[in-house]
Amino acid sequence: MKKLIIYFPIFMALAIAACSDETELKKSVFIPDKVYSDLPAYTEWGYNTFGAYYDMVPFISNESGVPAKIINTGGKTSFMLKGHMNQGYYYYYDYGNETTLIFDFYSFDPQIYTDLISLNDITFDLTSATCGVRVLRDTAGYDLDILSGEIVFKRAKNLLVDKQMVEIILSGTFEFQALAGDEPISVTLGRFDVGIGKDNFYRY
Amino acid sequence: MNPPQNILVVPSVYLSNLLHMKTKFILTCILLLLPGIFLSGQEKEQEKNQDKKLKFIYLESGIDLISCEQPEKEYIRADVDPYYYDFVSDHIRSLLYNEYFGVKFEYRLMKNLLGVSGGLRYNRMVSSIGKTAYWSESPDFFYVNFWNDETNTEYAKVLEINQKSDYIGIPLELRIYPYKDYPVNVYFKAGGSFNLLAGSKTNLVFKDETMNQYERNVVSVIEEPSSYFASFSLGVGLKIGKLAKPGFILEASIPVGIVTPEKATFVTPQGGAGFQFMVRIPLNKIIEK
Repeated sequence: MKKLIIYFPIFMALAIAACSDETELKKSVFIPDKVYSDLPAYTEWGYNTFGAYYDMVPFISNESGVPAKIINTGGKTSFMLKGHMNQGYYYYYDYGNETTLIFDFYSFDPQIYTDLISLNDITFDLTSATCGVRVLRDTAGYDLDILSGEIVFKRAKNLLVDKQMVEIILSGTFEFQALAGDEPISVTLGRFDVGIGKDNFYRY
Repeated sequence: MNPPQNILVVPSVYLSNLLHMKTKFILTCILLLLPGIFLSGQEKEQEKNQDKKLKFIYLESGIDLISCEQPEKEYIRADVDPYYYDFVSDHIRSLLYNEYFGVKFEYRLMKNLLGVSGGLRYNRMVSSIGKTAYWSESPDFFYVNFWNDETNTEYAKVLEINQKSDYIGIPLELRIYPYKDYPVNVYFKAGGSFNLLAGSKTNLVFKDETMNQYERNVVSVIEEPSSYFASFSLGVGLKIGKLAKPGFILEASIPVGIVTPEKATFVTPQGGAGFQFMVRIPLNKIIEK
């Protein structure tokens, strides 16, 4: 029992230290756009934010939660942006408005997260057969039939902390028109600045 | 018929009583007048001193503690808490203090009611940015972005950034002495100083000591100190020692304001308080001798 009393605080301290590793860098930094103040400004610092107008309604990242993931499975690589619709940045608790936008790339096959550096200055035509876009909303998911649009990875950069590789910063823009069922929708002024590291890169 | 004896006796007793009372009265008067005579002599001496154009040399040493604005900087990645007075949180803060010592010459005017002083002062201004993490399990470091190019963004984990700047300054002060000179006395002051940068050094405390070799690279993104600053203060002082003799002075200044010319300085001062200790040496006696 005595040993437990001695070791418990040490274990807790180590656990806390392990959890807190680079957590500050994972936090979102929302700097409003000077013109479209509902959206985050376009940045290339790995601020872990994204935003777009989804049929004129703001769709932006949450302050909490992982805003972006990259999943390589089943012969495709998905770039997933998870946020909420029609709310201010700090009103993230209403999960009823949770929305996920997923870009699928069939011609891109990263093995580990550091391979994402090859996305630097790459544009994907979303109408191409090697691309697809899906939306998950209110637990229902549906594919969009893209009419026009593209996603541009303007910058892919290594983020190093104390000379150690931590993540890849992906910054860029997207815009498209699509059919959601029979209804045409527009996603405009899309921008993202997210970090992808070991924690949010998946390959299986 | 013999005259009654008590007729002669009564005046003699009365006389002796009267004499005794008179002595008492005179003694009482002298006792009452003595302090008055003494005080009036002292006042005359004070007035004599008050009339003189007195001059003093002050050896001064002091510290100003200044609060600063929240450090919102592009190169720092950390929480900047909007709730500034919430101590139970973790966020970065900036601190500033200015230590100084110097020498001043004071010239008294208007029957010693006013003292005008000026001199030379050496300032060591220390500004720092660190993280407060009281009652919080969050890390005690913050990130400093020190390199960006087409392919890399580099951060260093930093516990503290300290900037030490040396300034040479000229203090100008006006003191009001509303009370006559007693060994312990209170007075009021208004002062200012103008200070020019003489040198500075910025250093960092890294989370990982192996990063010490990159200190110069990280320091290069941190703002240079202001080329000059001006300070203003109002205060009250306590003088210990007679006017014509060496004495000690304690001064408290509230508020103390610091003005820097450049907008982008390492820390942005707001206002604070200061304390000063001085040794006062009268020059008149020396001159008279």
